[in-house]
Amino acid sequence: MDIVVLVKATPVLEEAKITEDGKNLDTSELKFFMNETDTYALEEAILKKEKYGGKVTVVTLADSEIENDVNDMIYESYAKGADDGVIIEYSGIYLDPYAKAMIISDFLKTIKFDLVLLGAQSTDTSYSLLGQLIARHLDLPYTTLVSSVELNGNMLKVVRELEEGLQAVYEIPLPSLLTIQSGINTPRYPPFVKIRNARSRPIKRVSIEDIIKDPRSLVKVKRTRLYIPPSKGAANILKGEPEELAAKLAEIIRGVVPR
Amino acid sequence: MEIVCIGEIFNNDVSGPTYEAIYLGNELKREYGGKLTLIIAGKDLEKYSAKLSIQGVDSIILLDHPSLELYEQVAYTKAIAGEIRAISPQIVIAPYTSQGMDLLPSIAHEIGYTLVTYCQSLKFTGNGWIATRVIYGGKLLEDVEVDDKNIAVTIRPGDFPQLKQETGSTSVLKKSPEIAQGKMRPVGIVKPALEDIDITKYDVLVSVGRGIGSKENLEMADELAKILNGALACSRPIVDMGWLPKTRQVGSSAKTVKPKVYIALGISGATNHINGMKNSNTIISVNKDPYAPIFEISHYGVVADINDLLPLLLEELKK
Ligand SMILES: Cc1cc2nc3c(=O)[nH]c(=O)nc-3n(C[C@H](O)[C@H](O)[C@H](O)COP(=O)(O)OP(=O)(O)OC[C@H]3O[C@@H](n4cnc5c(N)ncnc54)[C@H](O)[C@@H]3O)c2cc1C
Repeated sequence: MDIVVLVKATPVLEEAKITEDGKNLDTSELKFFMNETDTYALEEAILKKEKYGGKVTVVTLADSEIENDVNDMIYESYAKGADDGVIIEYSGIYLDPYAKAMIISDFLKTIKFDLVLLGAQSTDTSYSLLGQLIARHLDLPYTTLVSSVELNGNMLKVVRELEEGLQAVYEIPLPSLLTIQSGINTPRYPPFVKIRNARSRPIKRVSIEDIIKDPRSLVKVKRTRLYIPPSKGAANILKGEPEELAAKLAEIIRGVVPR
Repeated sequence: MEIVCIGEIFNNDVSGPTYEAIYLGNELKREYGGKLTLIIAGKDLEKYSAKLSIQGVDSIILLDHPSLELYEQVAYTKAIAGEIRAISPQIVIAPYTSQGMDLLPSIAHEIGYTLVTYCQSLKFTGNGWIATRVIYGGKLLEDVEVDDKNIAVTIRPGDFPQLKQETGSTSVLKKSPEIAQGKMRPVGIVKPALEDIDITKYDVLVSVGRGIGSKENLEMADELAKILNGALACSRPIVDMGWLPKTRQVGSSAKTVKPKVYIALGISGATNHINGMKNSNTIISVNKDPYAPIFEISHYGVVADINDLLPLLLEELKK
């Protein structure tokens, strides 16, 4: 079973800084890692490859500004067990899920696969839209929030996570697309030597212009403003030395905890 | 303005977020005038008619068919999209739930509307729409613009009230739609049976997130819970890592809790977590990041590293 895993590099954010135009995140001091649910999608692909054979191809669409972190993400995927890595690069443009879905779909038309996996949600923009749109473009059956996948012949038995602890079970044939929920497996941590050795392996680079002439024209949802939410000032925030904080916190707890 | 809300049946009842979609539909109706139609697909829906006939809903379309008992995207898409086409609304609103997340992209694709997911608020500009979205786990907001008078949106559960004032006077139309056959087949719904304590029954919950960092700290958190006669709960990553069973998870995909005191240790405050605990009487949060969104909904916040604070806190409480 040949599996494509779509992954995205997302930043770890403490204090957010916004660029001068008020529309973008200042990424100059941020470190990007593979989006959390994508790590589960990749692990699921590698587990299936180990069981049934085939190939795992990791595909990412990324801004060349964060090239180093994106390369690291692909090398780490190799170290975990991915066979091929593809970076579709763009630079200096804003892409919404519609543009991204079109670009990735057109790229997927050029390669062979039985299954496409990706994370159910990205920790940055939280659209949960890309996989669904790609599936519709490529006319693949899809389902989302998958928490278990079993293969029987050409048919997958998948479990979807619903609210309040309920789950729904579906049968879905290959080829298809699944968005993966966290907790489906335990992603492996490859040893450092493996990651270092992976650095000598090639990464395929594709420019979005090679896929689509005018990517800007595909954008339907334009960001007009990015900002820090106005604080409602709810909490009494305590700061200071741990000893002092522990004493104050103990006092607060004694005040509110019923006896 | 023609407004369509897509409701949903969950666990043999109208889902709470359905009422939030209706609330937003009503707000838009008040501001721009027009008509609000609620569409729901499923099986044996008539029994929900009264519950759905709430203030502001002008008409209800029940797409009722035995094959729609379990949610299946292709059949639901075809049935609901058909009704939406006939109404040709300016806006389609659905909750961003497990069903909405799966179904709305497909419906929007079918009817050729641009879908903006995970919206917190919405404005019509005359030529198009501006939606506000909560991103980066609550650390940032973005305004996005769609240059089209027609739009589909999903809204974040928990952002709008769930008003349920029944009127009984809404027109209800029951239809048996044609069923489209997809390649996928629903098999059933399961609820994994897990034996554990019921965290909804405790007055005090000590809840740990990824920031707890280690299993040793988890033991200290458990000790804190015991001192306070409470129970240990957690955010999702702790269950994902296998450190605690799913029965301890608080949030939209697990349990909703409302204890007297909720102590959050190393939890960032993602919507999916907050929706399960924000109505607790007193919320106390410890986080090393002063910008953590959890502080926005807390009554007391402590900016500290758990590794330093927790042992000292236990000492203090044992005094
Ligand atoms: C469909 C869906 C359903 C979901 N359902 C749920 C759900 O039911 N419940 C749920 O909880 N989540 C749910 N999630 C996941 C949710 O979106 C978040 O990813 C999750 O809540 C984050 O958990 P966290 O706060 O523990 O981790 P993080 O977001 O990683 O936050 C960790 C926090 O710990 C702090 N920290 C780190 N180290 C320390 C230290 N040493 N001392 C003090 N603080 C420290 C950090 O500053 C950070 O704020 C769901 C997601 C999806 C997509």
